[in-house]
Amino acid sequence: MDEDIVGALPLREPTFLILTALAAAPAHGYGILRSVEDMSGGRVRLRAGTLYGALARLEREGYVEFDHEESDGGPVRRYYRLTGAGRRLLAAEADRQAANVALVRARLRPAGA
Amino acid sequence: MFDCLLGAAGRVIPDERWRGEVVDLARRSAAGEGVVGRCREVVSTAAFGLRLRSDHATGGHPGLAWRQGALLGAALLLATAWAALAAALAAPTGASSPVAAPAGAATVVAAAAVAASLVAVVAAGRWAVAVPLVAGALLAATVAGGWSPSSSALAVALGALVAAGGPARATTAVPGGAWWLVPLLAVGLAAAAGGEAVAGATALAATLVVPVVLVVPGGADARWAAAAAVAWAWRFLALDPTDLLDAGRALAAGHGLHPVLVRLAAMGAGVAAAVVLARHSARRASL
Repeated sequence: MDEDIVGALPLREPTFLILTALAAAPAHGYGILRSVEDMSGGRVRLRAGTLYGALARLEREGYVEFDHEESDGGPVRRYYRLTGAGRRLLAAEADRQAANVALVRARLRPAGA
Repeated sequence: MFDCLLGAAGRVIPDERWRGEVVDLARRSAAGEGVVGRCREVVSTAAFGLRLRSDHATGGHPGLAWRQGALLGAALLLATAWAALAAALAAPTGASSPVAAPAGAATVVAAAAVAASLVAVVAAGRWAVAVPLVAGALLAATVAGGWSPSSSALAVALGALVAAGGPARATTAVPGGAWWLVPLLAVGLAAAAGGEAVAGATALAATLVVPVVLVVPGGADARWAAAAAVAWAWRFLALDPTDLLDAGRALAAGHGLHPVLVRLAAMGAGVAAAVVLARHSARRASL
């Protein structure tokens, strides 16, 4: 695995959810915000500054990039997408979490079951 | 009111590219929210601007944020020493002052070295020039008046400069740069005219009021919290060890808590809080 990706793990939950929100298709800030709220069942509610702080860091590290912008007469909406490195980072974090889940399930299983 | 505050918070964001987008999203997110929710959007927007400024200045390296904060803290302590020395220079010969020794050749040398080191530190971040100048000022101030608050301020400033890094780390610079020289010049002139009252007020402002103000944005920009930690750390060295011993003896003898110990505890808590805040702020800059 890429050393940079290993060094970035584990991801903080907001970062993980932002990357997950971008996994299927490019999205703009408001779309990511709603998506994160939906995926977390309303538990994680990002403020605009927190979201863009994470996006700025992810862009600087090369995990997210600008896709395109749209305007329907109002303010311009910028869309962001995952880069190849971003996909690998998200997959590595998912593997890490899955390994932890498997570990816990194995330990919780009753003896002899 | 909300739009006005959000606009002001948006102006903290240095990058035009992000500014409009963040302010627009904050406005949309705050629609239908109460006062607390709106305040959080404003704070979050301003915090993003501060983090972006810190990132631009440090390249996102927490170590560099600490070094720049140490430089700023050193500049605050140099300002304190500068005001005290300016007041001493203007004081009548033979006058005693709680903040500085009476004027003499050594005081003149110390004041000149502090002024030059302030220019070197805040205008250009020239570590290699500032360190010997501050060391010279420390020596001259100690020769002129013994171990005074000026000497201890210079000693902590020297320590902070050394901690900030050597020539190999020349990318460090005080946030705000040369703009600090205008108020510093005004402080020196005011201290020369107003004497020890102005010098005392400057010390109070530079090592108590300003650090408290710095701690607030320090939650988003580690540089400010680190500067506050350095400025507060000075108060430890400025304490008279005999006062401290007397206070300890009084406490042991059951005569109650002396104000010196209360001050020491408050300073310790202040430094610890500033360090924790700076570390927290640097950690938030990670993914």
